[in-house]
Amino acid sequence: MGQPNWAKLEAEGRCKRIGIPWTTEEREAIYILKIPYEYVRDGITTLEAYQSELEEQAKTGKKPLKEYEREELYEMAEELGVKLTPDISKATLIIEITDKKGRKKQAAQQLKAVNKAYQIEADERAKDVARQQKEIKKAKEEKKDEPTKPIFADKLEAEAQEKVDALDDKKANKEIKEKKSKGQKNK
Amino acid sequence: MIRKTDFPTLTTDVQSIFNEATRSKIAGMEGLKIFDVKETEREVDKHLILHSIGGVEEVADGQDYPRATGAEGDNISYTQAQYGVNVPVTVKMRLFDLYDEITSVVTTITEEAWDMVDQSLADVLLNGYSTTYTDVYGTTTSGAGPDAASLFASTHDFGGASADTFTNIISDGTNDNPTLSRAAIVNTINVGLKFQDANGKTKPIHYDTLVFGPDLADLATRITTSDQISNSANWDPNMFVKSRVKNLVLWERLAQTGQGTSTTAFWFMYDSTKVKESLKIKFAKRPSLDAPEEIHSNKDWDYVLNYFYSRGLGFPAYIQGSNGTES
Repeated sequence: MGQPNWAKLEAEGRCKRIGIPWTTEEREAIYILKIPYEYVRDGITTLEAYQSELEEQAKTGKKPLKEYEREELYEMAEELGVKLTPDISKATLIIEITDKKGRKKQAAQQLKAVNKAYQIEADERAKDVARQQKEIKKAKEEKKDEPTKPIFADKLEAEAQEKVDALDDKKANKEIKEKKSKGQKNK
Repeated sequence: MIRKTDFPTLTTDVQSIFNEATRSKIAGMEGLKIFDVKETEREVDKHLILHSIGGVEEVADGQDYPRATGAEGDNISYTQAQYGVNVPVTVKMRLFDLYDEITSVVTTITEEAWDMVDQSLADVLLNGYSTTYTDVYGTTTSGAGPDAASLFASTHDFGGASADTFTNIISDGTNDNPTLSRAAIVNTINVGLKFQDANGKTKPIHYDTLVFGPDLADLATRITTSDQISNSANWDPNMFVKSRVKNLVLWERLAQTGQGTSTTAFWFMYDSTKVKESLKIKFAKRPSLDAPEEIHSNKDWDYVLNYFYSRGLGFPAYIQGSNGTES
């Protein structure tokens, strides 16, 4: 089948992209609602959406890329380091510039996120160290108030008790033996 | 037995069978009557649409004649595609002199090739609401015209020559894509008569041909050939439609697409003098049957039926279509 002149159509805003024709809804947005094709390329197909987009622009005061002339976009892209030929279309320039700016923005955001993560980790560590130091200090203070005990006191005490118990057993055995011997004598 | 020495004679016979089958097929092919059929030697043909070449002025005696002015519209390229098939004359056919079988094979394949060509043209109309579709050969095909819209669209433009748009979707005055009716035919004729070109000047298009599939044949004939308007209060005369619609084209292939989708409600109207500007077919090589250049190891003689052609859209204003969905 035939192939239309996509490059011409794209440059004139008469297709979405090379090889992508407008849908019926998009064609009606351009030809009947008279919404500029650059906005339709961004998915704006109703007058309400177009109106709110314009209001948003007025609020931020930022001029969107689609409002620039092709030549201005060409210079902008060159400054961003995009390798170009004079045949490039406005639509492609917008994609390239958005892409380049997007990548730069993304890299900056990533760096910021990494730094933030490092900062959070460092803060947490500092908090942990402070908490530990506080606990040690508190423990030291509590120990200061307690009466001092001789080292191994408990052990010594147990050993002594054992000895006492042992002594008692001997004493008892002695008494039993004595009683037994007395009994034998009585017989 | 058909021997090797009989090869030239058999080839002549086979080609005459092919020619006979081709002749009878072409006679019944509506597509080739509607489309602009041209031969080409280029692989890619470029077609430029011009809107209203003009500039005729009153010229005073001795004054230079003005140069013609024209508004250049869109352009579109048609790329050739190749289609083909082997037509085998097997050893068995030769050994046992199976002329009937040879005739049958050649005739069937030849008819099949022309059927495919005709259906591929019908598919251009039946898939006229899409910018891409699968054709009768199973190939994904672009249905985009020079303005990147499908053949039938409500907002065709003039290729930058004007900010105006036009529709070539049939309406009955209330609904787009109406079922076949007298009101829709009258409205379409009327739209054509009031058509304005890229410069806003009236350039009437006379939609004088009604195209339909088998299911609409009876209704189409009654609407356009009756002397009186059916079911009208006092049986008004039907002269307007009867005189304006000069040709009725029953195209059997409009019943379904090449992929088998039912399209029985589709109908179309076109200007028979201009439709060839809207629909084009270019043959770099028409279907032909070529004799084999070598004998294969299986001793079959493989004749080759092949052809190169492209289909394409031009300026779409000269044909109007309805898919009968009333939407």
